[in-house]
Amino acid sequence: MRFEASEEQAQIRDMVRSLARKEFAPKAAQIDEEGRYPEENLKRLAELGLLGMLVPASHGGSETGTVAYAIALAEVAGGCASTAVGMAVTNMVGEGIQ
Amino acid sequence: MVFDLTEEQRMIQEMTRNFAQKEVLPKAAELDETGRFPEELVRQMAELGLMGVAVPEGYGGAGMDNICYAIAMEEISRACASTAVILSVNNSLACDPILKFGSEEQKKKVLVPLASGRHLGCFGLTEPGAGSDAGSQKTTAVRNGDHYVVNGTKNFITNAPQADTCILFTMTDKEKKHKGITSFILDMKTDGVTVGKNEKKMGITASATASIILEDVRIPVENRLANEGDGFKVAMHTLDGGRIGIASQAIGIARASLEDALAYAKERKQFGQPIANFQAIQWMLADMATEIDAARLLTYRAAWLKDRNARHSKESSMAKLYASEAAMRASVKGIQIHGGYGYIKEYPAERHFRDAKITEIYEGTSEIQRLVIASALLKD
Repeated sequence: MRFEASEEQAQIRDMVRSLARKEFAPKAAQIDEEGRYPEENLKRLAELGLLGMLVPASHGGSETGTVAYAIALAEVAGGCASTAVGMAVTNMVGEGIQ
Repeated sequence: MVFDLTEEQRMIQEMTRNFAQKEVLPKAAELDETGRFPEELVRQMAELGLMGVAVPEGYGGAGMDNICYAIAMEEISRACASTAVILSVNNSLACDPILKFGSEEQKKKVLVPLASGRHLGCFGLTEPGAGSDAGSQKTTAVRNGDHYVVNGTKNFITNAPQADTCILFTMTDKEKKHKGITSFILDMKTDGVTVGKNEKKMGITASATASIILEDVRIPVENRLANEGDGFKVAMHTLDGGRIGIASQAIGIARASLEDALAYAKERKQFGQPIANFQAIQWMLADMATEIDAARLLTYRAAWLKDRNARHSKESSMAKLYASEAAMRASVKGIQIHGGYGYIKEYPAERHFRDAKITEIYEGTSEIQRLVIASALLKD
């Protein structure tokens, strides 16, 4: 057993935490109020390879593994749960297809 | 993160599971009923190296890690929670403080017999008036040349009637409150040491619990553990490790509740089919299994941090809090699944319930665990 995050997992956590705090959290109340699909947030996640974390690079994914995915998803949800569920479904669909 | 067991961890799991199933489980009901101290099991566990699992081989232990210790505790507790607590007190509360704070001489003289199981240890912190408020020690130790003179009473001490050695806490400077506490390694055969009657308990009946009365007990200065005033630190560090053992004990009890209920639910027929077919039963089983896994992961994480010499007060408290409360919930569900049969002593379900309750109380009540966790959160 080893409980520490790998270097890659720790990097992803730090990056996503800062993204969620700076870009997602400030808009979360407004998105919630309006019920608007947070398209720009999903685009940011796509740019950072966070929508295909369980998909091999050869198919356009970032293949970071499931622990990193769980870490990233929790961080995004900490900023905006609506954005997080969009991220979760996309990752799940990607994994299902491949 | 890596979640699989190492080869050594798998090995001790298999070994302790076999031992627990073959040697301990068949005796569990009798031990519970009679409250007999399972001397022969303690001897067998010593032969298997279980009395000092995480103590280096050079000091008489098995030289394994604390996850191995958690695994061994869970397996023994799955069979008999009384036998498990005897093990836990010796490993965590007697061996560990000497390993961490003892001098080389103390380790050679006292730790080797404890870790190898030739001697049995106990932990004298609790007093009639000092439970959760462990800092308000009334037992006094007064320096007199090359020894201390100790007077006071310790209460609810697990293993006291059988113990050869006690890690004893005393007040050497009342003005300094918890910073005036000093710990000692007490030879239980010393003049002036009397063990009170064995308490009649609700559960873990085969583990002995008694008071220790200290009347003008002379303890040589070389048996002081750490410096004067370090006792509270010794106690708190020791309990951080002890809680990993009690969490594992709770997991073992919860597993016993689940495994017994699972077997019963598949066999017991009502309305023309096994009750395991009913969702009402399935939901209880699912909750029990989920909480057991969560408790185990919390406990392994605390053990893993301890092995790395990292701070683990908060994590040990989380493990102990969650595991003990999960064990209580699991044991209640275990009885409910058994229905009327869960309430009679012919089935072990009610024993698990009585055994589970103590894990929410000793080595820090659930309230104290929450206090430790919250104070760590507020400090961060």
